[in-house]
Amino acid sequence: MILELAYITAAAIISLILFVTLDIFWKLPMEMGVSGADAVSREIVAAGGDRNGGLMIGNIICSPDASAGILLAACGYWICGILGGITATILVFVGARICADKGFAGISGTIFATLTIWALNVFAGFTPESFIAGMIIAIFLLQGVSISHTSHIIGNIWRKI
Amino acid sequence: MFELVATICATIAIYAALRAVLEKNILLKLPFINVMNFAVAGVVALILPHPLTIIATIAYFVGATLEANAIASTLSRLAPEVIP
Repeated sequence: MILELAYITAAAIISLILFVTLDIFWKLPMEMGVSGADAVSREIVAAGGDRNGGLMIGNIICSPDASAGILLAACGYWICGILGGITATILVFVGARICADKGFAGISGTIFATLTIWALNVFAGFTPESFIAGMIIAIFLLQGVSISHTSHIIGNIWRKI
Repeated sequence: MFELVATICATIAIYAALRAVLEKNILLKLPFINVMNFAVAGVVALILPHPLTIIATIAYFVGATLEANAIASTLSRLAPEVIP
């Protein structure tokens, strides 16, 4: 039980670092990739949050970005292994285009997540379902606790980089 | 492992749904609904390990984000605000 919880905690930290890195790499805290992200960002600013962090949260909500890619790659890998990860990559690419998102955050998230899960599964004993739980805990920490605080943290990281 | 992961996903889904119900502002409900969608997508994949479930999960998730985008962009057009 404790070992399983340790795996899930480690998977949550890895997922959090991976998707924040990828989202910042694709400049989601600066660009309005989809039209709804700006509206969500404005409302987060009105509630005491940060504009750049709010834009990134808006982009996460309004189109399949790296966080969605990691979750869906973990689901695909759990069901079908590497083939499931590749299927998730193709479908996330199609899904991002359906949402009128021109970026590549989602597809890069699925590719990196599939490779990470494969490597950690083979060499470190992580199970794919620990990444499903880990990604859900990571997105819960970002959006489910206090959006104004997390948007300030993301905004600060973005401005430092 | 399976029971633990399913319990974590279901607990977070219920918590996020309750937070979404209690939140007054419609646009600020969307992050909680997004967390709930993540958790529900995870639970669906966990309890139905079949190749078609990947397609169903991704279709559900993409549909949910598309709806959130539609709600947010429509509300922003209805009530435009100027950010200094």
